[in-house]
This record gives sequence, C-alpha cells and structure tokens, in this order.
Amino acid sequence: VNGTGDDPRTMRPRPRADLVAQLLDDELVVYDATTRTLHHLNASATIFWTLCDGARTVEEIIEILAATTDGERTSIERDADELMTRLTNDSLIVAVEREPDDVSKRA
Amino acid sequence: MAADLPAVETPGATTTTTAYRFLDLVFSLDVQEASLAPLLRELLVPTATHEQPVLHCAIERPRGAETLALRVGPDVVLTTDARPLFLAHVLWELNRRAIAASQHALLLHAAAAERDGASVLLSGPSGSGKSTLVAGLVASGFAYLTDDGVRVDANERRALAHPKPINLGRDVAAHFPSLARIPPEHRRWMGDEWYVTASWLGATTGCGSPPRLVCFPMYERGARTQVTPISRAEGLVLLAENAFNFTHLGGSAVSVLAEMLRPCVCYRIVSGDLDDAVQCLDDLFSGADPGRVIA
Repeated sequence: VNGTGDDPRTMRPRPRADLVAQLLDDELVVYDATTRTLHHLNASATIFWTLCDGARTVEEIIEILAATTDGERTSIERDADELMTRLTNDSLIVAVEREPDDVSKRA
Repeated sequence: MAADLPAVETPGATTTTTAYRFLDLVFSLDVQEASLAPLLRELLVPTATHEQPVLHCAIERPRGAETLALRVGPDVVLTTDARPLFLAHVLWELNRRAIAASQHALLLHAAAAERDGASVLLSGPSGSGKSTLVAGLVASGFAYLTDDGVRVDANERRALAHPKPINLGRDVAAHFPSLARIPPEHRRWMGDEWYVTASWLGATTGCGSPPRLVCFPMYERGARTQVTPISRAEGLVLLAENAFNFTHLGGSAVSVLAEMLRPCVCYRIVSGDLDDAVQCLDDLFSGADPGRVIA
C-alpha cells in the first residue's frame, strides 16, 4: 500500500479498482485476477470493506463501526487492524493520497 | 438397445461405429474387441449422439494377440493385456480429453443428480465420496447427471448432464443389489473399479437443472453422518477451488458461480454410512431437517 505514512490508522484505504467482487448475502467474495486468487470476507469484514472509500481514514472507519455496532471498541480496533494487515498483505486495497487542502488556496 | 444407437462412418475403418458426446467432445469409438463391445455400448449409450465426431477412437486387438490397444486419432495411447485396467484407462482417457476440450464453460469437479426440476451438486476432490453418494441418490430415485464433471450453463445457471459411467469401488458396488445382475462377461472387464450406468441402478438420466443443494462431502470410514451449514460465499470459494478451469475463466466464473448459488443452500457433509448420508441429502434437498446439522 502506497503513501500511508507511519500510522496505518491514518491511511485512507479503498479497494483496488481491478478486483472482481461479488456480494452473496452479507459476505463478499473478491477475485484478484493478477494473482488468480479468491478471497472470502465474512460479514463484519465486508462491512469494513464497504466503508473503505478512499476518503475515510481507518480511524474514521473504526469510529463508524464503534457507533453502529454492539462490539467493544478495543475489539473493533483489534479486528480492524488485523483485517487491514490481511488486506494490505494480499494487496487488495490501496491508500488514497489526500489532495493537500490548501494548495489551490495558496495558488 | 444397441440397434437404437446412431452410427457414423469412421474414415478408413471397416466397421460402423457409434458417436458419443462427453461434455464438448464428440468422438466415435470403434470397438473391435468383440467381448468388450456390448459392455461399452451399454455404458456409453446415455452419451450417444447423432452429431458428427471430431475425434475418432478405436479399441484394437491384433488377431491372435492378448494385448489391447486404444487408438485416439492416429496415435496408440494405451496398450495392455490387463482387461480391468484397460477399461478403466479407456474411460479415464476419454474423460480427460473431454475435460481438456471443454474449457470455455465453467466445469466443476462435482457429481450431480436431479429431481423435480432442481439438482444437487456434490463437489470435492477424488476420494471424497462424490460417485458413491450420487449412485446412492440415483438408486433412491434421483435422475443421474454425472459422477464428475458438472458443466455450468452460464445463462440459465443450470448444472448440465455429463452422464458418463459411474465409477464405483468394488466394495461400494456390492452395496447396490441391482448391480448383482451384471453378467459375468461384463464383470471380467471390471476389477477393483466398477463402471455402472444409472439404468443398472434403476434410474434414468436427467438433462440438467439449476442446483438447489450444494454439498461438499467427506468420506470417513465409520463416521456418523453430520452436516454443517456454510455460507453461499464459502460455497463459492469451495466450488472454485474444485473447478477444473476456474483460473482459466477467472472473474467471469465468479459471477456465474454467484448467480448459480443465490437460490442454493450449502453444506459440508461428513459420513461413513451411505444409506444415512443419502437420506440426509434427500432431507436437505426437500427442505426437511435431517436432524444431523451442526450449527
């Protein structure tokens, strides 16, 4: 994953555009044609995946999950970190570099 | 039965032969060994076709020789004087070539049977019990589709028939009383591996239908039947892992499997008791509680 800085929680992840994803019930199956591998995301991982829009940081996604689910925050954070590690290692997500807010203003 | 089979002319041959379709492969088979011809015609009649063959095969035995040869096109691909081994190798070779010739549609490592316009798929690697279970389903009233090699119709999401002979171990074959009537002249071509038809099990051959039940069996000697529900997404991954050509088709196969699986229920099933497992599959297919489900 590119351009994440030192803290993974500040990363703004989004799924790679070339993946084939199929939602079956509340679970996702993702096919990566470059590695010819299938990945199965359970229901909670699928929710996390759908929140990865390239705009939210991982921290913001955790905030949303903590506010909308019954899980304890520490458990949500642990699961999110583990999932990010897995998705990163499998190269299924990329980090979106945020456009500097003040560039146009300064120009 | 043999008189009803369509005959085709084989270039250069002195006998008429019959054409058969295995998946996308249409081939002719000229059986010049008189003692084997009736058995092969019975085994292959569900696959007989009027289509023009693209591959000409022949089983040859030089006059006075004990050695049998399988010729595929111009090449002799097998010679042996071991009769049971020969039949097994002929059927294996034909099926292998059929799979190689059928790569444009998704092809699953699965057995299948159908009833009431829907099918049950049994997917898994060799030795998982697919053929045994499908023989049990067929003997209990399902129509036979295949014991391995389910081609999926991408438009209608149907599991299509590939009614090749059902391969059973000799010990498994002994479980089916109707197979005791197989004549001795046929049995001499079968050793530890038996090849039987759906009609010998008292059943018919189906045309294919959308799956309703998808199971991933595992045979364990002496095990009590237990079924574990799995999600459709997990079922998709397992079917893909057990497909002959998933990596060849890639993303399009994911879409086909997803659409096929949406109306299905998926289970893992562990069993060492054929009758119990067949009853369990029948219950699952019918929507009844088999009483052996592990949550």
